[in-house]
Amino acid sequence: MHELVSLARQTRLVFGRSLRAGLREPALAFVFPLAFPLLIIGLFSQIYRRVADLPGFPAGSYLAWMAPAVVLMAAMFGAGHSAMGLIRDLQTGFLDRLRLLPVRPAALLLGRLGFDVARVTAAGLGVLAVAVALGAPLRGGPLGLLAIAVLLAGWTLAYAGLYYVVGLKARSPEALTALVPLFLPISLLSTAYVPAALLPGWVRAAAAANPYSHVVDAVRAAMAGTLGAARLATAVAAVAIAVALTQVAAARRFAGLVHRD
Amino acid sequence: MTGPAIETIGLGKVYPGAVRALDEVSFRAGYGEVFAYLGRNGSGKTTTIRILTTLTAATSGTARVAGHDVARDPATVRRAIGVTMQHAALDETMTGRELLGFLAALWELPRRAAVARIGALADRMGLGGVLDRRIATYSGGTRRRLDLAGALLHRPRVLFLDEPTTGLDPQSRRALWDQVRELRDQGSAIFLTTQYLEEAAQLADRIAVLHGGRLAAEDTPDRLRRRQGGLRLRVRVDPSRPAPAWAGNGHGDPPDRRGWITRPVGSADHARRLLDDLVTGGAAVAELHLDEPTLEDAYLALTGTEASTAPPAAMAAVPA
Repeated sequence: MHELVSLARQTRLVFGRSLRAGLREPALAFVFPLAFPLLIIGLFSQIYRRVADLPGFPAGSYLAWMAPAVVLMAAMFGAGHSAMGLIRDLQTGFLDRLRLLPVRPAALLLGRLGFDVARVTAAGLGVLAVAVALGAPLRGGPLGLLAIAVLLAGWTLAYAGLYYVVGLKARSPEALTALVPLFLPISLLSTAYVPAALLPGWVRAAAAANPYSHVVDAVRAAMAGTLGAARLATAVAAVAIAVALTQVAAARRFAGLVHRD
Repeated sequence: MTGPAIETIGLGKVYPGAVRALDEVSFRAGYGEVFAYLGRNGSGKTTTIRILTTLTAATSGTARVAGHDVARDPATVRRAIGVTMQHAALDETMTGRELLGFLAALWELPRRAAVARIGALADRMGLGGVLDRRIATYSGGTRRRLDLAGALLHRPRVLFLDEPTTGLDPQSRRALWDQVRELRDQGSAIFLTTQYLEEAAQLADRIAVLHGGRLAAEDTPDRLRRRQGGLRLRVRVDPSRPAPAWAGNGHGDPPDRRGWITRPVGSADHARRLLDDLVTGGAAVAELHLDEPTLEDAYLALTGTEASTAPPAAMAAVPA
């Protein structure tokens, strides 16, 4: 029990440090994950508006279709922030200083990830608010909103893990910057911007295998107020698998680093 | 405190790729003394510090710090030691006070005790005026002092300072020396690596010289200097005149190209007699010095004088 209390306390201290660093660089920490999705929602909802007129288009408007993808885009843009901070600690030697303190390595990771999740979930919900103000539906009630927040947090955690794996492998901030465009293939080879029925065959196959499609579809259903248990379970499973894949690899890499010979 | 502060027996480190960074290094350092660890770049200094501070595992031998084995009991060792790294390891986005507060909280100092300790250390390190400024605005010397304050928060008895004054101006260097002496006088053990022979001469009670991963010497500064012999007479003669026989021993080396003749002498009187002989022999003496051997002479004799040698392969594998 004491172990857990101590881990929670250390995690809170590391979270506090990340929060303070984030507030000192608000453009990177808070504005960046918000700005690009807002730009996309503004442009795409205008540029592709007539797409909704296509026969078989399953949503009332293109904005309604794409809004969940843009909410989740905040996760893909914002999740790399704390991995960047960790690389900086590695490069300055501050991580060695922390290793000499009686702090659990798990707390060093959990505190950072906690800040990523809190910060990006807030940004994603901000994007959602703008989308709704522009006319996207939000008919799922508090439970629907909760489902959106949980999926957004989970997707952030999965994506943050990816940044950690690459960052800890390459040990350079440049590698993290190079990872940013990855959101594009992940989004295009999914049901984020075009319904499955309108995708060419091979893209449809890729989209079905892409965990992101399941997350986007569930968030879309939660916004429309039609989220069923089966769809939610599929999305949660997709998120859980993605989190497990990236975070286990990240944790192992981090453990290898702090126990390095 | 009984027993040595630091004791290593046959310490060795081989990095992956069979790069031997440290080979059979054994020494002892006591409380209340400054132990200076000298060596060229890549000689294994930082590897030694990383092993003694539990950050890296040795591949052979043992090391005990503050009475505890660094491999078997790293957590206890970490509580007993304070460490400053080669480059002050700080988070530039914080203020000095925030950084010290963060470290104190992770040390689990009670809040009020932490505030008092931070205030006292800031006074002692001369940080009072800058503690609430961002570290990004600090000068090199201020960063080092903050780094040292951070290493002292938990009152460690054994301090490791890896090149603490590299890049500092002479005033900041002297201020840091004073801090180190004060800590030593209070009974701490201080293990210090440095590239500056003057620093070792000023501070060290004992000096170990590392060369190519092996200990080339370990002694007091005075005894290390005396290994190079006693007084030395250096005379510059006009090299265009025929080299005179060096009367008195008759078989000394001739002057070098610039006319310098160097001879060991037993006393000032011995030097005077040699000089008399030289002048009698027809030399025109342009310049003369009577020197004691310096620590630098001893160091160069132990580690070689050539500057161009490629750093040992160990450099590539030593963690930055």
